[in-house]
Amino acid sequence: MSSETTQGAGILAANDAQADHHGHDAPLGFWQRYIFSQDHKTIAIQYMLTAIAVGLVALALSVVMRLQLGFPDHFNFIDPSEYYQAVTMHGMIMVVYLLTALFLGGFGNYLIPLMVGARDMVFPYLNMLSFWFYFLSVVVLMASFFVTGGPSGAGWTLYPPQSILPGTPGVDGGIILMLVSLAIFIAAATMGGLNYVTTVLQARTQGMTLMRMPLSVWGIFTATIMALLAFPALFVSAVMMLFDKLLGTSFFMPEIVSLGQSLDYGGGSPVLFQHLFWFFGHPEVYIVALPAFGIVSDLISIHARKNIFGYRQMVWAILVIGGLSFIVWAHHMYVSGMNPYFGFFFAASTLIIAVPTAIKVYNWVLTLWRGNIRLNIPMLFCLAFILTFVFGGMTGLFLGNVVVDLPLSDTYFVVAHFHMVMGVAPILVIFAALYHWFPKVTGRMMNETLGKLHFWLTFLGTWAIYFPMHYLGVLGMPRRYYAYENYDFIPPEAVTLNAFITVMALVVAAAQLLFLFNMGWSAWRGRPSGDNPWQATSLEWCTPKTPPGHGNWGPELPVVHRWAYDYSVPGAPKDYLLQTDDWEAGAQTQQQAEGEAKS
Amino acid sequence: MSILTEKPWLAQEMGAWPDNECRYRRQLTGLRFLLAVIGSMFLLFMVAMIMRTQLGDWQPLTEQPWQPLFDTGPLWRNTACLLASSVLVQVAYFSVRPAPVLAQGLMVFGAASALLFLYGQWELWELFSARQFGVQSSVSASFFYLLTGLHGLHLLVGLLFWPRSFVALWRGKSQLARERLALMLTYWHFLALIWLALFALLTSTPQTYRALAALCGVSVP
Repeated sequence: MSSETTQGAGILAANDAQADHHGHDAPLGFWQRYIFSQDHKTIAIQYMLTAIAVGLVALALSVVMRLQLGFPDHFNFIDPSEYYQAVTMHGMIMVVYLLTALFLGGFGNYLIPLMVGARDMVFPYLNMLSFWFYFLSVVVLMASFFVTGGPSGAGWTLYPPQSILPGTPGVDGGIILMLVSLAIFIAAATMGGLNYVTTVLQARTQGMTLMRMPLSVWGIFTATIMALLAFPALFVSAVMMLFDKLLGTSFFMPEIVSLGQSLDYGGGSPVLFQHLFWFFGHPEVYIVALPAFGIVSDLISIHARKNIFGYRQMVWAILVIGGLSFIVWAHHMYVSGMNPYFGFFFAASTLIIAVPTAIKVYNWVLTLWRGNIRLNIPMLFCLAFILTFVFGGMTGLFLGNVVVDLPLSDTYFVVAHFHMVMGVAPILVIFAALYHWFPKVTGRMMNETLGKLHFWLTFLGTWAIYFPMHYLGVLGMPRRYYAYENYDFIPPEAVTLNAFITVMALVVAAAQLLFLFNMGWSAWRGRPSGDNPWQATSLEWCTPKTPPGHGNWGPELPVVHRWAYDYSVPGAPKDYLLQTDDWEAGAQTQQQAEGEAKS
Repeated sequence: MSILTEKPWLAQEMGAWPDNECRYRRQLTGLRFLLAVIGSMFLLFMVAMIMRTQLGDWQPLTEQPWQPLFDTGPLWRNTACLLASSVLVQVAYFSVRPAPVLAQGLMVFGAASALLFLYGQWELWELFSARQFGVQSSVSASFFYLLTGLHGLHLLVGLLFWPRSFVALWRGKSQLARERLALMLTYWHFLALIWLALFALLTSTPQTYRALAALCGVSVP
């Protein structure tokens, strides 16, 4: 495929209006190109920038929390209420508004059409609406910082009854805005999700069979189906809680005396909320993890110059994990009490889900085995991901067992576990993916020195934060405390360790500024990348222009002849074969044999 | 599952932007997933209701004469309106090519039936209110308002798409009208099915709730 690189294009030049379709060839104005764009690439960038911006708010909140925990005598700019508000907003933003939005709205939007050979998402207008609904949900959530009483401080799980009762921070407007924002986010995710699944199923180019799709697309596709089925549970619980809060119903609210006053509520079940919440909440872990799995699989294969080990196993593992993730939710609720047989069932299903997950880890390692590993920034982040994910996953096996979970519940062991497996691990993949696809988005490479510095600070820094937290948890240090001094059951060394963790958290937070600087600087001043700087095989590297223009492809859609993992193929003219390359090993060998026979 | 084995590129010319047939297939696929989302939402509401019925404060709405759903006549009338709407749209779909004028008339009657259903549901709300069964009076009433309200909202949104098919029919674009009506029909029949499930659930006896709860693994002594 002929190539023409557009050097020096800015980050939003993806929507450059020069198309080849009736109605699409008229030049678009500023508003249509950059603000209300229907181009999947621009929408992806909008999603990413918004998610990163709101993620920085969550990062700042975590710094505030850590300063309080590490140095309670030196920093007293938040009180206990504000601490809980920071905890709540940090958790909710990171899980929903950053990770979910970035993987599905950001990478899903950018990669799916390009990787399956489509011109755009199948419903571009709906796609644009999806972003603006997401943006609105972020605005509504951020507005809760400015209402009377501030944002909700109920914890990111928003458990009733305390989340809507006086005494909990943000009970006036904060919790309402939080629930409304979640409902809007779910509408946005649904609109986007319908686009992603339909594009994968209905807009693949010729030859792109399902079993030739890159694993990134498989991961995002499966996660999207999960999101479409799981987010309604969050919607249902949010609507019912809004009814309880605003209309005085008792879906979740039991008979209760609050601050000496008997309330009108009665008969409701807080545990019902927990079931609904975690029916969403646990699949949510894999809604974030599956795209990460897919992206890591692709990146490892590309940067180790080897075909992915066990492609079919990887696809099936993604699907099995997706299915199983819907029947493990109650392992988050062991301490709320349940029938012992249920406990056994959920412990068993939790352990079983480790099997397909382990298959993926083995296959990543076997892909690396004897590969021609290029230790560039994306690969470094991928290797760090494998280590972090395996470690976080192993502690998950502890917590999946009822008898081990009960003493560790509500300790820092849990905090360490879920930050490792659901916080750090996917964030490492996000960085890997950003460094990897940045050249496609902008036509420029990111600075390698800054990137490696960012990697080492982030990787070692996050381990320095969360590894000791496991120890704190085993010591019995409870989570959700505002300060840890003057408790007999917390030894002094835990306080010292808390200070160390805070210092490391500050280092990691500062390292992210390095990343932001690198991204901004490289978008305008970075080294021109060319069309395919990583010598990768998948379709997004075959576009006629970099960054791809509107409609992605020239007059003809690409035709796919092979899977996306043909690296180091014996006898091939180069060490990678694009998915569009029509080269057959057998035919070549036969021709060579005939040539040799003649000579 | 056949959707997984489809080769979507066969439906369109290479390099071309999607034509009408292609668009229709895509819209149908998108709609099916949307129905899965809506179905998932209603299913979860219903499971939540079943679990909630097993707690001590549950008051049925159908057992005593003063309870608003003791007489299920209004519910049956509303249900008949909704089913009639579904049938009318289905017949309109079949009539698009042989009798487009008839199809237009059927569509108007179909929409009128749906509006009648919504009006009937509103009257039920009035009945609840008149008998002191407000939204916070009991959790069974709360579920009634919540579920019928959400179902009605989905119907209203569906009605917003009604003119698209009607205008296509009016302008004589029979193929386009058929495609749009087919999409509409899928959504409409689905909402009718959801209503039948809600109707059955909302008017179930305590024994049925107990059996359903046991099926869901919930048993409260």
